[in-house]
Amino acid sequence: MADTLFSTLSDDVVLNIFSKLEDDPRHWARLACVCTKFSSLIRNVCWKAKCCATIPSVVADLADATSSASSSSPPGGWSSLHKLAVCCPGLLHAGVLLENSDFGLERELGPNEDFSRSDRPQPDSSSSATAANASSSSSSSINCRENSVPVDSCSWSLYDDLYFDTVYNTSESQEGVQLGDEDVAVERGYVKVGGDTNACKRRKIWRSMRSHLASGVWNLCREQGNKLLASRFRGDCLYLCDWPGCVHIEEKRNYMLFRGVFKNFKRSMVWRTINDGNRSKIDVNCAFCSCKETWDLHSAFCLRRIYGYHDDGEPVVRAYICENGHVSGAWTDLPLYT
Amino acid sequence: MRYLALPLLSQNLTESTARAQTLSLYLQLSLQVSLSQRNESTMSSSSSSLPSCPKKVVTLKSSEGETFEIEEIAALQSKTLENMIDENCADTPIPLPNIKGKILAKVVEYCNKHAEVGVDAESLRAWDAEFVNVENTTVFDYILAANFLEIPTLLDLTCQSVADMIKGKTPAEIEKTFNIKSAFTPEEEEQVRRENQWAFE
Repeated sequence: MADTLFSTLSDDVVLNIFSKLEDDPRHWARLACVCTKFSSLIRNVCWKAKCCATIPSVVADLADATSSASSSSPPGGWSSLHKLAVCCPGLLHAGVLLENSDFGLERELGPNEDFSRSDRPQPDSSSSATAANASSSSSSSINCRENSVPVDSCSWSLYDDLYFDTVYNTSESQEGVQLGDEDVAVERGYVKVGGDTNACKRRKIWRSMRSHLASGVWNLCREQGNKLLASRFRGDCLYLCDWPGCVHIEEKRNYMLFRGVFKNFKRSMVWRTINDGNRSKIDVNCAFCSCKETWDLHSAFCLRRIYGYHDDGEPVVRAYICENGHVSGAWTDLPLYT
Repeated sequence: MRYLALPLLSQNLTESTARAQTLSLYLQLSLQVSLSQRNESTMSSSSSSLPSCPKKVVTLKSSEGETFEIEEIAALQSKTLENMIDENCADTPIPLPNIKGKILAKVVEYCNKHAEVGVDAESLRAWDAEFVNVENTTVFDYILAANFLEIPTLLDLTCQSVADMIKGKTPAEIEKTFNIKSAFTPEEEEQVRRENQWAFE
């Protein structure tokens, strides 16, 4: 094994070098991918110090919550907390790409049985994977995908752009990084069957779909969390990023993507509501930890009532939460005329 | 009572030149004051005004046994050497077995340059940039030397230059530049990539 330059340096010198890369969070994230030593230094020292410096109240609160546990790191580790502070979940993880023209009913109640499917091939049993409701609602989407020429005139949809851009054009993805989970998530159900999507328009929008460095201030505070939750959940402590979060300007409307974390999620009212209501999960990965599925807070009536829907079925605000209490979501502007 | 002979503003001198001269004289004077305070016992006359007294030098010995001399003023930039000077251990050659002669020569050069008076910040910065414009292995040797001798300015400079080398590079490029072996298992590699995918957008 060739001599490595860094092996001659002590940890504090290496940390000195890393401290000069503090300004842009992407530097540390890339360094964490280089080798195990860098990864452990960055996780255990750099990210921890950065969180304690920039969001000390959140750190203190989360540390309180886990004081009974032996480790003093927040759920998901310092990497998750740091990522929450600086990283926008992207349209993908904020659930913006989910089918909404039916006001989310298909996800809630299951597929519409009246819809004729005799001319479509049946989905593989393997593709309707984990959660029952979620997979039944996504199987119709898989039908759409497997039909190269759909019978009813589905013109180019947002999904098709994504599918071709992310799956077939892997040569264009950076450094040949496999899209892995993102691919599966996209295949599972992000169909927007909309006749209004122009077939000729093939925008390269896949970049902003996944999580990326957030624009705006990298901070989490409790006040924003209070604005989101319904009044009966005021006792729960939710930290959200500052308004307006990371703004994404899309065709139809603008999305202000936010992210946050619950203090002590498993002891919160929101958790109890979700658990008692036996809510089913959605196939939206958490952007901040390894959870593959999340719960929809809007349909669980955890969000404030004034946030309704737009005319086309999209909720004004949506939020998804994972087992670890990580929240991803998007605000839109309230419709002027209701 | 000692006073500075201030340069007269004549038509041939511009104001900034005069200011620089004044500053230079002032610095020399304060250096002399500190020197004379340090060498009270050894200096014959403590009331010499401007640089004419003998400068104390410190001898450093590299790992190969080569010796280098450095003025005490310059040596004070190293906390390690400063401590030794304070404790009067600096009269004999100081052995530095983990610093090669080639590197030690450059470190001495750095300290001398930074101890000079009357150098403007811009040209010093340019000189520094040139100083670290060397091979990676040499920069790392400088880092080790600066760390051992505790020269904060040199340590900062060299660490910053390594940091600049890291900026903008992908992990693969960083591994290649610094000859690092990742040591991740394939699963760990995949997981860490996925977690940090956002940094590559």
